[in-house]
Amino acid sequence: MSALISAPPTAQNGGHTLNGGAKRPSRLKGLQCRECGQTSEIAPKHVCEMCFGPLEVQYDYDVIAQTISREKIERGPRSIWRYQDLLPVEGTPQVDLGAGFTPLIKCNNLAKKLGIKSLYIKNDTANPTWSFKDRVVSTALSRAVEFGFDTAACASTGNLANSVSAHAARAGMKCYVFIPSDLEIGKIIGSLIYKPNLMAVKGNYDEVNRLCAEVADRTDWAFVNVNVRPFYSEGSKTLAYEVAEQLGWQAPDHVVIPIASGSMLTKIHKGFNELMKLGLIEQRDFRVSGAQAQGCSPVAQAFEDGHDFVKPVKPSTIAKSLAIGNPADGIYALDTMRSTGGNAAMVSDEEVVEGIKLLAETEGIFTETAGGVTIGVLKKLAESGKIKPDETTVAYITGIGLKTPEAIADHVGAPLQIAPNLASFEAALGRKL
Amino acid sequence: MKDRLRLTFEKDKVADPVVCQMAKQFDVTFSIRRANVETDAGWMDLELQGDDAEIERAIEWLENAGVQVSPAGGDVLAG
Repeated sequence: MSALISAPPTAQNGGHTLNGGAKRPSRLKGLQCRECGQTSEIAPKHVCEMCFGPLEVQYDYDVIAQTISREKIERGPRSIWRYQDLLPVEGTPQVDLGAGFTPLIKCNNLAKKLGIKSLYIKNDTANPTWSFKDRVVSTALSRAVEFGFDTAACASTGNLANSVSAHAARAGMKCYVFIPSDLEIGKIIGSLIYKPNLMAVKGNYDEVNRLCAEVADRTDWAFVNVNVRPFYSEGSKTLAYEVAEQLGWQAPDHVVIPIASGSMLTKIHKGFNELMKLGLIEQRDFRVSGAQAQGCSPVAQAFEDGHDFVKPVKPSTIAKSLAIGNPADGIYALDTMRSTGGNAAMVSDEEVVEGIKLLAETEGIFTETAGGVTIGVLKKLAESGKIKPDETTVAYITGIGLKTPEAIADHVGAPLQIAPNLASFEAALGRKL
Repeated sequence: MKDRLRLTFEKDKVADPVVCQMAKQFDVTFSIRRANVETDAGWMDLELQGDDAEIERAIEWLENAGVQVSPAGGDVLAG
């Protein structure tokens, strides 16, 4: 039985109707292969039929420029949907838990520690399922509903599983989620609570990956990071739009971004550039740097080795949400970091833990291991002079620490055990009250 | 069945005719869509056609021959 409940719309029929029946030209021109440039109409597919290169949504910026303005954005909802003119969803977003518009926090304590004058953290732990994945999932599934899908799916090491499960529940969609069987309990419960069909796959990384690729090929579900990936990945651009707006409509000098598939990094870069192209922020150079864990650092390694391709690796790190051995957008992330004068660096699992603790102790933000990678690399880049002290720098913290307490449980000490009397408390305090 | 795969070759495998040998040993056909093979490493995106079991065997043979095999569009597994 088909999971499609109506025919997918096309670029030809996707325009809006204006009062009086005239058709407003669509903001969306179609899909274009990033490798061979071949174009095709808007449809749920992610790779070029000819060369297998990734497909990307093409916008008509002349059409967008006619309607978008800072004022219009500022009047919009306090979510990613205030930027809908730049997202690939045509009608009213159908799958929305309120993702986005998360805090941008000026971090003077951490900045001082690292010798940077102006440091901000984009705290994306403050999303509905506590990670940036809510941005991409809300975008992907809103588009999927427009395509007529009634089933959402994904293969994930945790955060994406949580987000797809929650958004599918909200949208009344059927939901199939595949996870490796050794996932942390917090991330398993964080999916199960929304009652998806949760499949824990017993197998090594490659086996899990291959099974999920086969399932994605043989079902007509909206596999958010497969057949609707071109729409899904666009949601990450909102991480740039928000930072620009929160900085008073300007781009920062330098951004530090964790790399898994590499998509978020390239889309944040694209997001700032789109705002410049549309005249919403001033044209300026900015640098993009990427962060990976040593146990899964195919992009950072290629950067270091000067390669123009990314060699897949078998992940082995506590930073499971970044543990993508064969990153789909790795070469584009590499290009972005090189072309903007940015850097890539990697940190050990010990440095990941130190990074988590440093952010918590200086700024009161409890991040997961991916955030530990970002802070570890931020520290490394600052110490080596690769972040200039006078650069306004934004580091992206993309997930919360409460889902994976196992990562730091042995590194945060223990509470002092006292008896329920003052004497015991005073003994622990080391002085009389 | 069709499978879109990326084959990655380490330096010591770059010059080996593994794809040709695979097609001779198994009842599969392949179509190379993109590739970049240099002296110290290389990759090749190809479409493999055949029945499920034969493709599985061909992939296993490639891996045993020291070639890394992964989905052509990158990993399906995400964070």
